[in-house]
Amino acid sequence: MDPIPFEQHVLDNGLRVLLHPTGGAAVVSLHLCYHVGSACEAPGKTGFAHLFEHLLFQGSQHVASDGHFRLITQAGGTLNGNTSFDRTLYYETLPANQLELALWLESDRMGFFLPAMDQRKLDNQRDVVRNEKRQNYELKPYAKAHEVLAAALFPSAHPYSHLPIGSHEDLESASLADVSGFFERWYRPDNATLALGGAFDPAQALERVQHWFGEIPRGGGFSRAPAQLHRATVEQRRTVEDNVQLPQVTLAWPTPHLGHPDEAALDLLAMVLSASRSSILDRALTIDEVLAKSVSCGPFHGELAGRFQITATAANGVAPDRLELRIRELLAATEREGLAPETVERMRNRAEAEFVQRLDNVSNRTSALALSDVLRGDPAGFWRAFEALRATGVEDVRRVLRRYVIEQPPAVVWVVPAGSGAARG
Amino acid sequence: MSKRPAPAVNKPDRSTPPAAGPAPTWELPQLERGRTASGIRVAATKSDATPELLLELSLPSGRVREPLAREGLATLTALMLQEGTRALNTVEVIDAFDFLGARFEIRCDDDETTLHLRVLEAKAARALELLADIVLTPRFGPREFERVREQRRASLRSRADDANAVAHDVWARLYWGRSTSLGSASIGDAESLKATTLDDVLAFHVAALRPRAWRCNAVCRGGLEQTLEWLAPLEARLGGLDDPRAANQGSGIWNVPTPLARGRTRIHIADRPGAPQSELRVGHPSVPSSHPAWLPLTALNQALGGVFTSRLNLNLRENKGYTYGIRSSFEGGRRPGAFQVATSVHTTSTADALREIERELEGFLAGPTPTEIAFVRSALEQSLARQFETPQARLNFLGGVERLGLRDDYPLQRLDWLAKASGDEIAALLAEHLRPQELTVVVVGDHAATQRGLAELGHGAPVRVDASGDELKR
Repeated sequence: MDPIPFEQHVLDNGLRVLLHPTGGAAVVSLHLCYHVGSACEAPGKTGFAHLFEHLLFQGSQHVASDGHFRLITQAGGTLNGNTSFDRTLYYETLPANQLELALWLESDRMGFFLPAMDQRKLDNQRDVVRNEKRQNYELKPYAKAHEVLAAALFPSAHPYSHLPIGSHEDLESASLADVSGFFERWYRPDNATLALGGAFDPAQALERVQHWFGEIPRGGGFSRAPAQLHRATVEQRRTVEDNVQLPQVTLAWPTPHLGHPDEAALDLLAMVLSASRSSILDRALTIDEVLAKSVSCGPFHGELAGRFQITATAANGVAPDRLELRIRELLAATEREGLAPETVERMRNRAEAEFVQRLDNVSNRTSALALSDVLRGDPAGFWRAFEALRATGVEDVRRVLRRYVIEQPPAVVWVVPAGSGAARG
Repeated sequence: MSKRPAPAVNKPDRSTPPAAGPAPTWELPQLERGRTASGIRVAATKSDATPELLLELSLPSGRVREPLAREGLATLTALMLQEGTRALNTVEVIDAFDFLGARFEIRCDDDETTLHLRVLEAKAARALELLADIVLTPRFGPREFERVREQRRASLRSRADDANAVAHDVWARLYWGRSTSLGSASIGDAESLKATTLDDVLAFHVAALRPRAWRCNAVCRGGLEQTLEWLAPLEARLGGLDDPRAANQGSGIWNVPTPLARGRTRIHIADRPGAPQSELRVGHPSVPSSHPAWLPLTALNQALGGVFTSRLNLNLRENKGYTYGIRSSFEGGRRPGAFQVATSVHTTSTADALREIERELEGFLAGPTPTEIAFVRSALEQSLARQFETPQARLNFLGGVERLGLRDDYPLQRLDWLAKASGDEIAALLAEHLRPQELTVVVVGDHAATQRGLAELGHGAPVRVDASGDELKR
């Protein structure tokens, strides 16, 4: 597979532009990534970056309040946005003749958002976001653990110690002054990357981007916390009660930021432990013995720091302490005995297949370029990360297991059935 | 970095949406069909996006064929098919697929059990060999069976944790009743699991070993011809399976249970004390996909609850703020699927949300406005340009056509209807197929906090049901 071809430009106002022309396809995809996420939120303002993303779908000076969804859908397109710790992404994929519509909509909300904002829109989307939090973090079984884990894993001053969804209390207190302050500070062309993919002529597309975005003034002075390698020194333990029947155990360790040399080895470690039913943890906990109903393992690499996480839901009659102990034994044994080269090779093959499949459409390729530019400072960075994974061997995987998992105390969160009092923690 | 273009001389005119350029050309996927010598019905389409084979093999062992008191047998059998073959144990099969970088999974629906494979063409032959082993020589070992049952017991125990799953199960029970397994959760219940033996699994699978009732859908660069070549080694192993008595059974509908008629609107509530939100399911029986009204109804539904800017979402989310999202659908399928509205709303808004849903359904009987019709036509027509980009998207299209018995050009057929339908025709269609006075309502939420408001809606006191949808005795 060949690397994704793209052109890179910067407008006078600092907007970074990536063009990924594909020739034949009948689609065009636009991904606009602002370099602001929940990590930029001031104390007492948690959830604001994400609430703000919702507000950006409420129209702008020249676009009616339901305009984004109505016009893009009517033109045969799809659209959405999402907010993480580090960035906010807006995107639409349309038939190739509708590029101009997408540029008009995105440039209007980048340049002319505030005149259309009012208290009613803020109140409405605050209600919507609070329902999103209830649905995805309170009603959904075990989801309460996410917030508790974030706070246990990172010190309270760390930008990743709270989740992008925020607290009800802070969402309640968000004001119109907060909205305009946030917009003025972060939603600037020189704090964003605009990536276009699909069927267009690159020179012409660049001219149209200049046409729509060129007049928007730059901001500047974007200060954000530097990446920092946080090492845990003390084991943190939390127990959460939830309306569930089976206990769940999560172990998590702080890891380095995106682009750190250990990123690929941590990805491969997660796969070796739990990508497949025959992976080390899955096999031991669900096939060789029935200690868990399910187990998963996820590495997360953020711009400032990362997280390596293992979550297992107990099988019937298995107490959380027994499940946790067995997981820790398995990790220790893996580090002690090492891995078979075939195991790592299988996971590399699997990673390669998944990478190819993920990039089989214009939208995902364009998205990867935009995100990589904002978070790695290099549009092709995600490609290099994949190549690093292909070159990662058994000993690299074992080394990061030792360094981040074995030699560092975890943050441990148990979710236990309400009223069971199954507490150690 | 390239040279920057010169700054714009004129400020852009932002007052109206810019005009679109000429529409791009696109084509519906060309579907090719054939049968193998042993009778497998094969449908394929080409994709040049990636050098991969995406293939689905469907066996006629869906949930409707489960014997009574063996609910959950279809999904249990699907799990057992993933527990090794005569030659390889559970872990060896998984490792073999992983080594090929192949994705393999098995899923059940009402009518079929489907093996899904996605693999690079260069590795396809070996992956299909594994697939053939799984179908023809599954291990079905007793030790594996005990383990799968143990895992299933955990799934059954935690099923009711998830309000969304409870809403699904309660709806299914109220919709289909107890006389078909469609009225139960796909994983069955504790009693049916206890009763199910390894012999049941074996018999259930063997009954589906009738190649004439199998369907195979595939997407690859070489289309049907190449797919048939890849199937040849499997085909060569099917000799003994060609049972002429099975020939007439086809892969069609095994039985057509009738959804229970509900009469006037009734509210059912499964209690979740302290729940921050109520899961709502609101609807009534409707038509199968083979019914001539189904495609038109799916088009009209775009204006009611099919997309973000539909009436229901604009009202309940963007105006009232009751929910994170709400959608409606005419489910269709091989048998009469539901018309259903689904959402999750803040507990304190439960009755208000239901009132608004009823109001929107009543209001929709007059039909979409001309603006809405124009919106739906445009959205459906324009979106065709981007819908067949990936091999998976092409497979989904092909799979829908084959499973539901639609015409190969059904998206155009639907647009054609929409272009020609008069306001009277639309109103008549909705009068027949949208029945706001005959709603089955499922609420999974806090009974104490919502019952008073719900009782005031004029449908009597809510009927209390358990997490399976059975009425609680007073």
